[in-house]
Amino acid sequence: MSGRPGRAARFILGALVLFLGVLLAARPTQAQDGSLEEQTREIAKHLNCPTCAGRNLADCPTDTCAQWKGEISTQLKAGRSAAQVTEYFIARFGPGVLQEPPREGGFLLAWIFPIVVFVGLIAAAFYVVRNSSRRGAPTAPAAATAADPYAVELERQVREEA
Amino acid sequence: MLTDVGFYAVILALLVLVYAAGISVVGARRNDDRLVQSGRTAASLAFPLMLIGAAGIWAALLNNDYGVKYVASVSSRATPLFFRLTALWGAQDGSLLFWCLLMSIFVFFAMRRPWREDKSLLPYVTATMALVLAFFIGLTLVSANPFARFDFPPPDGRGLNPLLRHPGMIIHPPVLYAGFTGFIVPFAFCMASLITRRSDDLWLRSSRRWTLVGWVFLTCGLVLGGRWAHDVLGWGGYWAWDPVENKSLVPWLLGTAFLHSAMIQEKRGMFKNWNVALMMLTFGSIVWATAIVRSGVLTSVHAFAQSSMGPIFLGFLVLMLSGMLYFWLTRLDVLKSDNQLDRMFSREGIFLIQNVVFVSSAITVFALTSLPIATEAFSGQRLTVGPPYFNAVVVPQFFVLVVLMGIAPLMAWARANGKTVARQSRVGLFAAALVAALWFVTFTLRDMSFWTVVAALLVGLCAYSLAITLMEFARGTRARMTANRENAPTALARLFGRNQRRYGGYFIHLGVVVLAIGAIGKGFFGGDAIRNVALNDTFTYRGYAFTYRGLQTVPCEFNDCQTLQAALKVTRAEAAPPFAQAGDFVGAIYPHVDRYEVQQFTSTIADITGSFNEEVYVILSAWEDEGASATFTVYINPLINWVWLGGVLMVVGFFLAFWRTAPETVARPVLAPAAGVAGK
Amino acid sequence: MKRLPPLVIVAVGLVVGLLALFALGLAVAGQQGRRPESGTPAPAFTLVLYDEHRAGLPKTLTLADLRGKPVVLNFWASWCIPCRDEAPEFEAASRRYKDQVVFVGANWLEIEAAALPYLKQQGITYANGFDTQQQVARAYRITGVPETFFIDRNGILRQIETRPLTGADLDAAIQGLLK
Repeated sequence: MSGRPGRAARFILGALVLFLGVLLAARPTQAQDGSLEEQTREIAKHLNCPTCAGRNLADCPTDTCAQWKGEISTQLKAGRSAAQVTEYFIARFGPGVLQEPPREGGFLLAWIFPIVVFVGLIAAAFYVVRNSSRRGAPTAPAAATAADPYAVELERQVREEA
Repeated sequence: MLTDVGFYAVILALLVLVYAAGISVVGARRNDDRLVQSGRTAASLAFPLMLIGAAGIWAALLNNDYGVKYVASVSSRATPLFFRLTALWGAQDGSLLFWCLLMSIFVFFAMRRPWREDKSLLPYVTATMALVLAFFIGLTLVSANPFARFDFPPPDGRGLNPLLRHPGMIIHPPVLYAGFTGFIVPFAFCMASLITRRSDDLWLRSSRRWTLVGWVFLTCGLVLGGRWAHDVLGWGGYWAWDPVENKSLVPWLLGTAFLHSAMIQEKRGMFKNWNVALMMLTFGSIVWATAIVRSGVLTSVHAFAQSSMGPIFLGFLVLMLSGMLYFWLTRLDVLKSDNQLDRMFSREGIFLIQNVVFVSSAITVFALTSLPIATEAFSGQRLTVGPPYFNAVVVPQFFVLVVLMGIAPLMAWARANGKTVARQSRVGLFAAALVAALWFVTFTLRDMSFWTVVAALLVGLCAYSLAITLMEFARGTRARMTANRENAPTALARLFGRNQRRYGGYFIHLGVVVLAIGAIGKGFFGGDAIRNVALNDTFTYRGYAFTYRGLQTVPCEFNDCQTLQAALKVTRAEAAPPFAQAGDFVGAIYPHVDRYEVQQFTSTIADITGSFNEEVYVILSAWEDEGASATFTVYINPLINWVWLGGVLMVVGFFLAFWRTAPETVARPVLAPAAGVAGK
Repeated sequence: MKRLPPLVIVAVGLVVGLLALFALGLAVAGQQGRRPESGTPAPAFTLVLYDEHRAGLPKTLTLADLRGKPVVLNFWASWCIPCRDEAPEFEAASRRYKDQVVFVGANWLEIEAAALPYLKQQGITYANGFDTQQQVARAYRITGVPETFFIDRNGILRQIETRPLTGADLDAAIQGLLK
């Protein structure tokens, strides 16, 4: 009996990690109608506006931001790609204009950090549990208090076929 | 007059608290109950004194006493009565006083509770609370004194910040502050337990209900904040991963982890030092959040530099954190587990994993919100870590939690059986498959992409947890029916009555799942567009037709602004069988722009229509030639109302868990190994 | 004393790290409002001049290039009304002190499509450029526009003004620089 639950736990964990990986690997792609306005908006959504703290460029109504949006449209009209337009803004205003840390160079650390924390903490939990179970004799599982027949019944149902 | 009385009352409150802290410790050392009781009384006095202090500011607000700097900055002669009262927390100085008032309320009720078996904790509970509260009151007086006066009073004030004139914003700060300050009670019990070297769970049991109160206020505060942002900030969403929001999410994540792991200690005597650490982290993150927001560190670009507040906070953080660290490290030997956790595949194991995920997401939110501080200090570049980042790295962790929520109830304590769990998962898995398939057909097929497929899977996960949770209610009811020979409704009612914590908790889980489904709807299927339209013309977006009916200027609510209001008629552009035909009237909406002359401020207010499941949210973005044409931003927010509904369900679950309808029959189980009945 | 258990190290490290982070944040926030002081060397800067507004200066202008001549450095933006008010005064002064003082305009956070029409409309002839990645604005810790910095011929900051200036203000400040 001892082998199976351990494998199951590992399986669940593996599935979770895989699932997280899939989510992290892909990027949202929104259906666009392709109009200039929509394309502009799509780029602006990934940029910050300096005069509008906490909101992205697309949703910010200030004058400076209107100019920035105008610039995006102008550059798109001139045939530049979305990536080129974004590059232009980074070159001009620094990586702070992006809504998220760039996925390159030292900034990659910001992206790796959460994964390291997640995996590291889970590994630490397993390590601690394994260490403690090796040290002491396994203790008996808790029982529902006999005082409450309902609790006993509930426990019985959970343990069926145990 | 009353304002001056208020000022002195606050000073007196500070003195009384310092006395309470000192005398309690002396009383505990000398084992003199009279001194301890004197400290208890003194600490309770802080509340009435702080109330007098707040009354002082209220009096000044009502009497148009613009000699008081704070009053002049948040009120004016045109400000209506209601907003004058709420102006107490309309800006930095007053809101800090208000924060102290709320904390003193918690201190008051904690002091006045009947102290019985936990009497040995009393002196240190008093001392901890009194010291923390005294710090905040001292901080208010030294660097954010709302009683400060002008030498030459202005004739009128500036009026309340227009952004704050929304019911959500009126309730949101008090509720959130109550959540923050409420955690002082469990924190104080935790410290007292450490200081007195107790190894049992007395502190958990004594402060359990207080923790829940703090937690529910925090939850409500976050949801209300989201609602306010949705209504007022005009970007269609409800959560922007804004630094200030993040700073209040971190205590919520840690506090929620604590609520769960505390159960393990109560049931199994495990996770003792972990629980202490979590409680200290929770309260530490609250003080940290307050420090970083109030001292202007976070939003340094736009900050009104609070020169003196930062160093004072730093000093307090040094004292508090090193104090916590000292007591924790010197008591580690006391905090040994009564039981071993020898198997991850068990209820305790799942709780541990769940705790780890909560803490991991809290660490990520915390660290990445603080990252811009570090990058700015070292490279001069202020980096932005915005919604795309957090959605990618934190939201998946939340979905892991949703799944764990569905698995945990199936796990037996100490040692679960894979086969049983799999067998009992069948209903859940069936529900998941069914819902995911339905979702796929109705939503994903309309808008096929990788992400809408992922969304269908995520909804399946939610359905799994929802089904398992509902099954728990069914199983508990059936168990009662078998064991106690009750009929179904009675059994269900008694189920909640007799095991409020467990089933109240499961009810909160229902709320979480509903909220998660709402977040999926908005996050994966929401859309927005910006459209320019001429007068009496129509544009369509996502199945809706919007007809622009004109623009007019109307007086605004409090006559201190100009409102430019657009009228739009919304109808269905295509049929949505079986509920709607093409051309059906959906609603008439009036998005508007308010211009405040005095504050030199413009706010864009959306108007909302649509159905419960799909909200249509429209903003007036621009206009030309006095309204001959106008530009609108339209957001279609599917299921966003489920987010609010989920929040409401969570609060309902809290009440189910909180109210004691019957004395708890399930005493703490005695956990001697020999007592196990099912130890096969 | 035995070796410290990892738990203790982690906990102590966490607390120390948090406190350091907070102190760092305070330091950054504190600097934000603190401009360079007059009487101290002006922070070095590099400005990319607009092609139409080079005024005979190198495309990539650094403060060191201008050593030997007093400099008036003015931050502006096209949407800023006080900037618009003071612009003609600056233009007039730059003509008055031609060959004696270098006027440099630094645009704040704008793109050419907004900045260039403004310069043309105002008839500005002195050097104007774009502040790449806000480096100059950061070095001078400006908090808004307009802000004007007067730097003497040895590169020492002499005067800082954060209000719109009149011709008389400019004359007074420049006389100080030329002394």
